[in-house]
Amino acid sequence: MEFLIIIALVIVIIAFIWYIMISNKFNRYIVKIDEADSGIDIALTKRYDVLNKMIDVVKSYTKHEKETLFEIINLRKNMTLEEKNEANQKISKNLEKINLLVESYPELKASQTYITLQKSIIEVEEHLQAARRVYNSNVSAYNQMVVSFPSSLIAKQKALIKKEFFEAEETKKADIKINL
Amino acid sequence: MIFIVFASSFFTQSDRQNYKAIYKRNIVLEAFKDFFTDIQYHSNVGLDEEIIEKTNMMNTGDRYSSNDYIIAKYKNINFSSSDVEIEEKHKDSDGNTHYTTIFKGQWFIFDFNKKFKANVQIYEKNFYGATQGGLFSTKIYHRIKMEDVEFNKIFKVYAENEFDAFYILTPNTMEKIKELNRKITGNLLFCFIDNKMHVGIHNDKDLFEPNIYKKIDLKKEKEKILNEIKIITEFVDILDLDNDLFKRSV
Repeated sequence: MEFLIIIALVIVIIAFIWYIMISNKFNRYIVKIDEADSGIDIALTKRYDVLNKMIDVVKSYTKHEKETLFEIINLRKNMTLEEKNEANQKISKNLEKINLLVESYPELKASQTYITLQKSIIEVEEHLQAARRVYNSNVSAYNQMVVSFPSSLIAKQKALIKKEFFEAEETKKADIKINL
Repeated sequence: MIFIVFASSFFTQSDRQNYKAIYKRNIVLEAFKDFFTDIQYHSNVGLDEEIIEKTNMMNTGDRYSSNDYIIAKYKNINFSSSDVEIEEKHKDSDGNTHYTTIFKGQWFIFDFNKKFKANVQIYEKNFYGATQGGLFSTKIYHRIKMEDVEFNKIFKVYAENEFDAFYILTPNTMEKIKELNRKITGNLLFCFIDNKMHVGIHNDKDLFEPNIYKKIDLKKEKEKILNEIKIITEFVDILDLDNDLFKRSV
């Protein structure tokens, strides 16, 4: 009888330690996902800032009103992942418009300011891609734990559910290449 | 050149050294000039031990030697390179001292075309001299799993922060590192530190050395040197290090 009690106690202790370990692992992933999410915010803001600088430069050359030519983007705090995706897509569309527009203005295309801004946009896009990949890699590991047995038991008990991925745009899936 | 051919028949230590010096000055250095600019070549000088120590890639052991130090530019990219050998002292049960090799091969330092803050280390998995993310370091390195399954099978990545590892190792860069790994014999090591890319090739080889016991066939010798030079140029060419798109920003 005593032996059975000892075995039962050992099992309870092991289960408790396992519970603590898996809970901590979930917590670590949640923190890492939050950090990666902030990384996306920072990269998105940088991309937005460079876009605005580009619009100003284009405007000074083309005399177009930026409000009529470009889609208006509102970046704010605590945006959902869907809203961030949407904002990012709008930034991409505006950049595509700029790229098309500068083709008609060789002087603008050759200007040092524009070339520097193009390089900056490439750099911030690399930052955004890295932030997205960090986010998605943590979400992937977290989601695997949420659905895999036996960690799924703790996920259920803590009401943890699968998280969404930050989708890559088709054009950004390959590494960025641009001809200046 | 005739002198070089004749010199190979002498075997005294001093003659051997003279022969090597002439070989390196007349054949190796001349071959470098076809590829590189701003060349400084010191056949008897090597890379400082502290430079490798600073990367935290491996324990620098008890015996360190380095030679064939090159500083030059290829496609306007600064690089330096050197043969390096690191050994560790052991005592067996009889009290005899012997040395085991931690690293023997080439160490390269290239200007890197991206700016980053944290150190990132990449080890080929079957390199046993690794200090597993800087075991002797005061810095904290985390093991990073990349999304490329094949890359993870070949390499282990450690970084001070996850973001810089993903920023440096884009999917395209990982493909290129795998390509270099297929082309290059030996264990590949990378360390990204202070905006430089350090590359170690643990291949048990000493480059740019003549075979003093054989008559030199100049054509074959030049081919051999060209193949050794190719190791340097391929890092710049395959990894696109001369692409400076990421260097300047507003």
